[in-house]
Amino acid sequence: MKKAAIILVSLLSSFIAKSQGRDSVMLGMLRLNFVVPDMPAFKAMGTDPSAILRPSTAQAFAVSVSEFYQNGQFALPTDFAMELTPSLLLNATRPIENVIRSYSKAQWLKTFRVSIGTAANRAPHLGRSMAIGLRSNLINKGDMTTDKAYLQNVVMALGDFRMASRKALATFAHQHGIDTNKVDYEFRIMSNPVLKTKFDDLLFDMEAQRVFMAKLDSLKQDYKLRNWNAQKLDVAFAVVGSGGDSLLKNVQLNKYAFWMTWALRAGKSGQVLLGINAEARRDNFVVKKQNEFYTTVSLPLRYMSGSNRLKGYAELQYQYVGIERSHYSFLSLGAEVNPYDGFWVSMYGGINHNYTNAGTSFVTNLNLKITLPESFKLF
Amino acid sequence: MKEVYFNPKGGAIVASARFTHSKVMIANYSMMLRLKDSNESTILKVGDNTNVEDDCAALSQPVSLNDGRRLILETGFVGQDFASYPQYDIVLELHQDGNILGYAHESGVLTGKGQYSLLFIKLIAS
Repeated sequence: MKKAAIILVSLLSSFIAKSQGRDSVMLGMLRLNFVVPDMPAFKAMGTDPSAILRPSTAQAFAVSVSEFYQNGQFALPTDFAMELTPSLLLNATRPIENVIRSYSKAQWLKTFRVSIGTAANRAPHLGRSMAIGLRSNLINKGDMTTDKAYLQNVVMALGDFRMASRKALATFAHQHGIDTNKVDYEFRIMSNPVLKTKFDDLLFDMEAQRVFMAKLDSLKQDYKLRNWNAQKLDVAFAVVGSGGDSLLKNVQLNKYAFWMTWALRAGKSGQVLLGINAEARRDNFVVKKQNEFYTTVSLPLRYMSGSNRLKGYAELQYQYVGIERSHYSFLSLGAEVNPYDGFWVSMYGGINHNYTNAGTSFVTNLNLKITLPESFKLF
Repeated sequence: MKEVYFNPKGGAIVASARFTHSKVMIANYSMMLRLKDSNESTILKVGDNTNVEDDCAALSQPVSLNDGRRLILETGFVGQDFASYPQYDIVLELHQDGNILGYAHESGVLTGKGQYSLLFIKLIAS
C-alpha cells in the first residue's frame, strides 16, 4: 500500500510538471482551483476528529492523503482517498449540443462525486478499512461561467481583441500582396485555407493576444479572490467496511455516515460553515457488542478567514458518541494553504474534551490534497 | 461567398447570429452591412452571447436597396473550458417573412486563446 501511495504521488507530480509547457499559458477556465473538498470516503474512516465536511467546487479528480506526521516524525501515509466527478469526466468528449443540454440539468447531478478511501485500522487485527462515499452540491454559488460581471468583463476584453484582429487582418493582407482597396479583401483571406491558417497563427502569438490573455488571467484571479467563500450546500453519504487482511477479504460493513454542510459568505474575506454529521457504527473493540450499531452525532461550526490560497480558521464542535454515551467538545485552530496549482495543505490542532468522563486530549492533523492543475488537459 | 436570394418586394430582412453557449465559449460580435461594390460598412448591431437578448438586427429598408450588399458577422471569442469542450459553432442566418433565406456557418476547435471569425453573406434580389 505504501508503494501504491508513492506511485500515486509520483504520477500526480509528473502530471503537474507536464502541464507547465506551452499549454500551461492556456486557461482551463472552468477548472477553478478552489480548495479540494474533504472527501466522504476519507472522513468516514474516522481518522479526523473534526466532523465537518468542507464543501467546495467539484474537481474532476482529487486525492487526499493523511496520517503521515506521527509522533513528531514524518512517515509514509497510511490513509488516502481519491474522488472523481463523473459528469466532468464523461462530458469531456460529448458533442457540444449534449453538453449544452447537460448544463440545464439538475445541479446535484453535475456535481455528483464518488470517492474511495482506505485507512489502517487502530487495531492491527482488523486489517484495513475501505470506504465508498457519495456527495453532491445542492447549492453551488461561485460558478464563474455564469457570473454576469465576469462574463461582461470578458466580453469587453474580447471587443478590444476583435478590433485588434481586424487591424491585424489588414496588415496581414498588405504583407501577402492583397490589395485592401479591393472589395471584400478579407474574404479572400478567410476563405483560403492556407492564408486562414497563417492568419490564425499570427493571431495566436500577436501582442493583442498577450494583452487579452493577461486580462483574462487577471479576471480569473480576481474572481477566485472574491468567490472562494460563496454560498454552498453539500450533502454526502458514505459506507465503511473492514477486512481481516490487506486484501480486504471478508469485508464487513461497520459504519454508515451522513453529512450536510452549509457554507455561507461572511463579509469579503470570511466564510462560516455549519454542519451536521450522523453516523451509525459498529464497535469492533467490544467483542460482545460487535453486531450492534451505535449512533454518533456531531454539530460543527467553523469560521474561516483569508483568501483562496491562504485561510485560517477556528472551529467549535459538539459531539455525542452513542457507544460511550459521552458528550464531547472539540475546539481547534487551523489553516489551508495552496502553495502550488493543484496542491493543498490543510492542518489544524485542537483540544478534544470529554464532558461525561472529564477527559481532555490534544489533537493535531496534517492533510495533503491534490487535484489536477487548472491548465491540465483532461483529454 | 455564400449568396442568399431575397424578395425585394417582401417584408424586412432580419439577420441573426447564433453561437455556441456562453458556458462553452464567450463571444463578442459586430454585425455589419457593406454597401454594393464597396468596402464602406454600416454597423447593424454589436453584442455578445452572454445575455438573453436576441442576437438579431433588421436590414435597412426599402428591402430592395440591399441587392448586392454583403452582410458580415465579425466575432471575437474564447473557449471557457476548451480542454473539455473543444468545439465551437458560429452561424449567420437571414430571414424574411418568417422564412430562412440562407446562412453562413463556421465551426472549429477552441484553443483557449482569443480567436477571430468573419462570416460573409451576399444578398441578391430575385
